[in-house]
Amino acid sequence: MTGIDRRTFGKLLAASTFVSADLAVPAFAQTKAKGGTLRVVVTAEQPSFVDLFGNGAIPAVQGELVSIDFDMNPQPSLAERWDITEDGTVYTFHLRKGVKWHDGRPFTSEDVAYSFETLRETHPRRRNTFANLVAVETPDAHTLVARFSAPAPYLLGALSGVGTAILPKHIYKGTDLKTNPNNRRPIGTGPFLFKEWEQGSHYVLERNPDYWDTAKPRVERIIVRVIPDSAARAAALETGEIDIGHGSPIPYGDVERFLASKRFGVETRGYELGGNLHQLFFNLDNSFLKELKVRQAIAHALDIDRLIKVVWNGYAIPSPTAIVPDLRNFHDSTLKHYAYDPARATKLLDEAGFPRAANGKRATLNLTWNPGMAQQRQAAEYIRYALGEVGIEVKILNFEFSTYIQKVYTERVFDIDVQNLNNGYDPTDGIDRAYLSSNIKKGLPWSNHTHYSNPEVDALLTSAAAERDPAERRRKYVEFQRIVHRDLPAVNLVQFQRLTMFNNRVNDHTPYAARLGSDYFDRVYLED
Amino acid sequence: MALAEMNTTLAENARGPGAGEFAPSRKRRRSVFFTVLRHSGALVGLMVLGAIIAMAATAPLIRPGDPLALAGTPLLWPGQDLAHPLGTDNMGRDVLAGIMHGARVSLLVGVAATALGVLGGVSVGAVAGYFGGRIDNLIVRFIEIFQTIPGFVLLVVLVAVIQPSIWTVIIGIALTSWDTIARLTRAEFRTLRQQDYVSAARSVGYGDAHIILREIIPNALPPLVVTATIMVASAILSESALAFLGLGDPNSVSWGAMIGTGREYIRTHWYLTAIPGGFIVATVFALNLIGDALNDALSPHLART
Repeated sequence: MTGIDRRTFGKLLAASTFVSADLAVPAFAQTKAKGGTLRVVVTAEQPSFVDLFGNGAIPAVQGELVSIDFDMNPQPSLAERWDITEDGTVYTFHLRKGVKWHDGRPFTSEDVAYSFETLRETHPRRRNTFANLVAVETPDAHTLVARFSAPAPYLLGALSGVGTAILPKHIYKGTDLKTNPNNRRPIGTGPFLFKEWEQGSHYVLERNPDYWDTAKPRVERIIVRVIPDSAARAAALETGEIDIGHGSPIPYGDVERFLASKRFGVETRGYELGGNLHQLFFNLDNSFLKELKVRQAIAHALDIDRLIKVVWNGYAIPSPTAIVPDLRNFHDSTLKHYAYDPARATKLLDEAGFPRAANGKRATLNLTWNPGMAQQRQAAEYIRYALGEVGIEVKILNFEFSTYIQKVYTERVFDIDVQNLNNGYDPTDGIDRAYLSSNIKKGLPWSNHTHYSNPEVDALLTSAAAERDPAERRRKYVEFQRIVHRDLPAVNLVQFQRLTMFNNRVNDHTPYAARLGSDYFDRVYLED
Repeated sequence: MALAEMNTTLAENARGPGAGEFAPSRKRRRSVFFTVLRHSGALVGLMVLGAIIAMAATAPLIRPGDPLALAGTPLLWPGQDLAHPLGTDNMGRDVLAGIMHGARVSLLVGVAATALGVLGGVSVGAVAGYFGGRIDNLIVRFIEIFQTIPGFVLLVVLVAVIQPSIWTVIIGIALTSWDTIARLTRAEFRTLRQQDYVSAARSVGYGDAHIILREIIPNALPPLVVTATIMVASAILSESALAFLGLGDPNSVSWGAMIGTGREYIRTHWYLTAIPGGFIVATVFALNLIGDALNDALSPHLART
């Protein structure tokens, strides 16, 4: 067994702690020394490590077909290049030669074909991506041809390490996918070998000596620790117990203090694939909220700048539309938020026939918030206050996560749902589920729970998904944004910024590609 | 007719000297009050509790409006702006308003949950202790179920599954604390039901309800009062702990919730946790002091010395 006991683990940690207090900013470091142990913190433990069912991936172990750069363009990785036919339905991938799985078997086009076909059945989001996939052919070991029944302009964006897991066919073929031991101790083609997993505590990755890019990776070992509590993560980072954390590891309110110490840095890139959107949805079956004027009044009652300040500590930008600014190919920047204007809100509510009662209230609404993200609670508190100012009493309902899903998507107890239904890397990923009338599905999480139904929107979204011409595709999504901005089934609030916090001894941790914080770590190196 | 009248006379005689109930206990109650007052700890406790009650009572006058309103600039230190003497939290809510209105919630939860718990516990315990036999057996088994489940875990589950609000929190706390009172009441009843005055009351034909309510409960009160005082303190703690975990009523302010939100800022704005934390400590400590003093005063051994 390669297991290390607690004491040895402690020694490892101690041995790799070389944080000097007066560390200068190593911008022009001469030595890019190999080796060392990178200690990473994550907020929650993955149930398994192979993203078969939407459970999250480790690209650093698994490898990826393409890398998506900061401008959302695909770059070669396992696929060295690719051709797309004129009509956009046939994709031919030319795969890198000489790549080996961590168990020594060669990586071939068979593995990729198997991955596409498997994920089409099992993965909640790849089910859409590969829905029109009619055939996958493997003319030789390093060529893969994927044929679609309709153009698939969104395909390449889905093929990064966080999108599509490339599965070792020889391990999975003919086994039960759910219980395959590889899920807990995965092999891949990536720069790191999965060494061991101490459930509830940490897992260890080790440098892959046979990685196809021989100059990488640079660090010898990565220890990923699970610390669920944000204050504890901040303390661990501060004491030098960990080096780096993704996905906003510390409270936003602490970031300034960390930066002021000069020992830490913050990175905002790397999250471009998320399309992070914070919005509130209306229950359109509510007789009060059914009135457009009421929804407009609510939009006018919210001060987005204040929300950004008190809820997001400034780490967010306004996103007045359903498609966030990060998705620059589709975002309509001409749309603006309904201006913050309580007087106008009051007037609209009066006009809609909801004057203040003797107690100063016009209506009482139940507000739910997605407990998956801490800021939602503060946002709920802000919205409660802001709507109270214009005479709408808001009752916040708190639920823990599984009850929340049940109460909101099955029982629909909400009038307003504060939510972060992200766009993902492409509108097909995050928009369709919430706005298509065919996605009004009782009990299905993240579906169209407002019960918004507009045939025009349905037609636009359906045709945009298969539109080959980028300009035309954009035009359709812009049109969609204008319609929902007018109809207001939701008030889109902000695009929030997730942060990577790191000790300054860590370099090149976010080199070029957006991986939603699930970093590849192939270039990262440590400076002592 | 005549028989009924005679019963009353007999019953009154049964309360006479030796049977020891109302007259002696009334005299003792007065002495209890003074004993408590002589207890210096209790005096401090009463003063602190009085101050907190006064704060709760005057909250709507001194800090009118919604205590959860975003009243000012976020993260003001105490004293930095006289409009917010205790500062503001990360969202700009006034800490003083939170403390004063939070006192109302803490006291309401403490008293209501204890009242419910005592009511339930005494009823169940009285039935078990008074009737004994198979009913007693069944009830004791039932109480044991509650005793074997860790109280706070049960509370968290209850409140998380039902939606958190002040009343679910109160009911939840009552549900996890009634068993102590039930056991205590049962024990008292098992002792007291053997007493001569109970036999006397029974012999003159009083029903079970009368005997339980009028004869035994008044005599079983002293230990119950002491336990209830401590229960109020622990209910306040439980509510704070729940709110700290984010399971309190989101529509009302609570000291525990204030600590929960302030915790993220503990390194830079420690007062956000220290102030509500201090008030919880003071309240619970005051109640414990009062409980101790009551215990000393009501305990026969100590009362005599």
